[in-house]
Amino acid sequence: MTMGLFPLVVILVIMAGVLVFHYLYVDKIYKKVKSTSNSGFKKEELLTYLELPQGSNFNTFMIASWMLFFVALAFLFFQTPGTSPWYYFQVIQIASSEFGLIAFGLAVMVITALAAFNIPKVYRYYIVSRSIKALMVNFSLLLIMISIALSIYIGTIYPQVDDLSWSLGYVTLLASLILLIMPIVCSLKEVAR
Amino acid sequence: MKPMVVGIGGAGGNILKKFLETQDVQLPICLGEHLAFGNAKGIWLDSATQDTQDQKYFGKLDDGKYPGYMISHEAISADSPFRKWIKDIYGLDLKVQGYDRRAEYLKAIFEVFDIENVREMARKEFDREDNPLPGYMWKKGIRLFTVLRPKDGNGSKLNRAPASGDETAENKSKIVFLQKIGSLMGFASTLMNKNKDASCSAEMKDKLCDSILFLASLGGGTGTGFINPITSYVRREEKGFPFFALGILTEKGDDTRHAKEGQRNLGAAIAMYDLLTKPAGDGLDALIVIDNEILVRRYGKNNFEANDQAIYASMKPLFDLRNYPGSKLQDDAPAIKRVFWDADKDDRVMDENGKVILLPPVLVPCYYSHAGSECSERVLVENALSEDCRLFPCIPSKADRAYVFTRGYVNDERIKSAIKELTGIAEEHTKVYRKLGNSGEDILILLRNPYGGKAGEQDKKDKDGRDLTFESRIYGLIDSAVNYIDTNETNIINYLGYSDLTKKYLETYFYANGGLRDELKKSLQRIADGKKPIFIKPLKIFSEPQSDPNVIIHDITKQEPKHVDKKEIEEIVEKKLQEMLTQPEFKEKIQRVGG
Repeated sequence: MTMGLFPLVVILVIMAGVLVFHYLYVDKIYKKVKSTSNSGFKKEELLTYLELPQGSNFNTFMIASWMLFFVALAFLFFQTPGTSPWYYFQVIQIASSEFGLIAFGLAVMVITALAAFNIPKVYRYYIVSRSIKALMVNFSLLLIMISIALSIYIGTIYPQVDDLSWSLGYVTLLASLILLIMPIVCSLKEVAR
Repeated sequence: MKPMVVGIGGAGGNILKKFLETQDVQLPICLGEHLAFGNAKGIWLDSATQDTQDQKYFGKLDDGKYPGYMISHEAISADSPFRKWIKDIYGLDLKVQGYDRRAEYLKAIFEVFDIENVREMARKEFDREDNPLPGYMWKKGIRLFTVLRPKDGNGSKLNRAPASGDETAENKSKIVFLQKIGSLMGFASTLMNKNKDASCSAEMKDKLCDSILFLASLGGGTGTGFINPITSYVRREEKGFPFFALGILTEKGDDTRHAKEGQRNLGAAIAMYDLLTKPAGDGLDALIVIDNEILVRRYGKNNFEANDQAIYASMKPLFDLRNYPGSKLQDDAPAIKRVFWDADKDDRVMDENGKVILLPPVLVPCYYSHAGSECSERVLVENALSEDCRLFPCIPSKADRAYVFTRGYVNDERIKSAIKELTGIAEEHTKVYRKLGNSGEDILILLRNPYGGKAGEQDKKDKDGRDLTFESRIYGLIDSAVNYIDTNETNIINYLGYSDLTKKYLETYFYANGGLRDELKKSLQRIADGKKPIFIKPLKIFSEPQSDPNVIIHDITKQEPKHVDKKEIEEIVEKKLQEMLTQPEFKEKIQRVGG
């Protein structure tokens, strides 16, 4: 089985990289504005000026997508042993219950709720084109659901393993993450100008 | 600046669609409010019910749909006694459909309410409302989206118009069900947008429109007739509320979509005349003009989609919400209105009563957008002011002021300096409003009154006959309108439905000393002499100067309901038929029918 720490690290590195890009983006804009403006303002103030409403449909889907993204991540990496010393099947009472996976998913949602609600706030600082929004809304949830379904399958056949299913689950999760960070990735052009 | 965009008539409605294009993801249901660029709101006003049935984008505002449309005469029922009374006395149908291209017809319908007796009659039927047409459009439509909305107004509870347009019972229940789910899901995103310290986004979401921008084609018919009555109606109570209009002058020559050129030019001349002769506090705060002739040259004839897109794109810097830090309050509409009215001593004119007044300015937009690597402020300004980027013929150096809206990272002092260098407009007469950009820059320069100062400018055309100056384009338009008035007296006055009383009023309005023909001729002279402004004296159909010996005695009790003479009808029909038979396309049709 290809499970291990490396694939998880890749995802975490991408997320950290996005955070860095976001700060670079704000910093670049701050410098540009500062060089063309006489009025004094702080970098934190700039964020208020950068804000744009993105639309209720988009916001709702992004919150749902990030919530389920963390669930998919947990199902793929923390359901069966292989990634960390702590995993879902260790809690035998819940794991053997009929609604165990639902409880696991809900627990992940509660733990990551703060992150899931706050991460999409970053989008408000970017001009996200309608085509990118449509791409994000149409495919991110779908890919996440595929990843979750494959993880559930892996959990169901455990202790047997299915490398192909896991790899597919990982690829779909990665693809959904790339979709979710697209507004920031697209603004790299702005940072590079 | 967050204007409420009011699209009027067919053209206004089509351009409005661009302004209201959703910036959100399109789903079968909307989980919150409709989001347009710059968080703008909009409404489509029309007088033709058929036009609203032939489209699916706008829903009926009265049914709570958004984006919505309103039919101006819906406040008046088909069997209204008041409607019948107006028809009998004046020969005007208050529920006339918008196909009549006569600007004077719609003008008469609205201005008939200037007569006290008419207002009195209206008050009796319309719950003390003395001007039911603009009253309905303002109170039941436009006002709900503005800061003037009454506290109990329910304008925010508007649903997205169904995309399919067909609302079967099954569809309706499905929509209601989806909306219920949507409202639950939307709650989450609403929570996300709210911020404890009332951040910009929370404020923006709740903010209503602080001004009105009318979109209409000048000379089309409906658009030409609506702006003035609504503005005048609102101005009775709200002197300070900012009103701007974007008027699109239809292209030269005849086309399949519009009336004959002369008639259109008369409509446009009346519209511009009426919009530009109302002093500060009585009418518009500025008229932005775009010449469709330029767009037709750029995008080809009948490419309406590209034309509408170009108009919308050019106005985006005005609507963008992302102000430059430190400049947050500079672009609120009342501030911009004050800036537009800032004038020199020689901008003041004396009205016929000897009172010194200021008339609203004409603004010519010049728009340039630039993608890719950054370019200097001078390059931006130079390109925007180039002939290719002017949206109305003019010579930029003739403008007395420049209002610049930019998106991108630009220095306002360098913009001012470039404007001064290229046009001679003093830096203190240039106002720059900057917005934060994204992967490119664009610039909109509104040139204020770019005409006058030199005689003979009306003759400046290039070898292909294209107008090179503002004076040339407007002179041609007014000249054509005067020619139409001179040669179409029967068409203008002896319209089948008009009562004798209305005919007299129209005769006075058009042909009397000091009437429209006279005033337009004076305007031509003013243009030829290089004077500003072009129009001065306000004119109304239903008003007469007291000194006029031929003053119309208006006593409705002495007016008999109209009986049209049979012979008169026959004469007019015959004349109309003869006119039609001279047209080649009509001949062609007859030949085709004849096999």
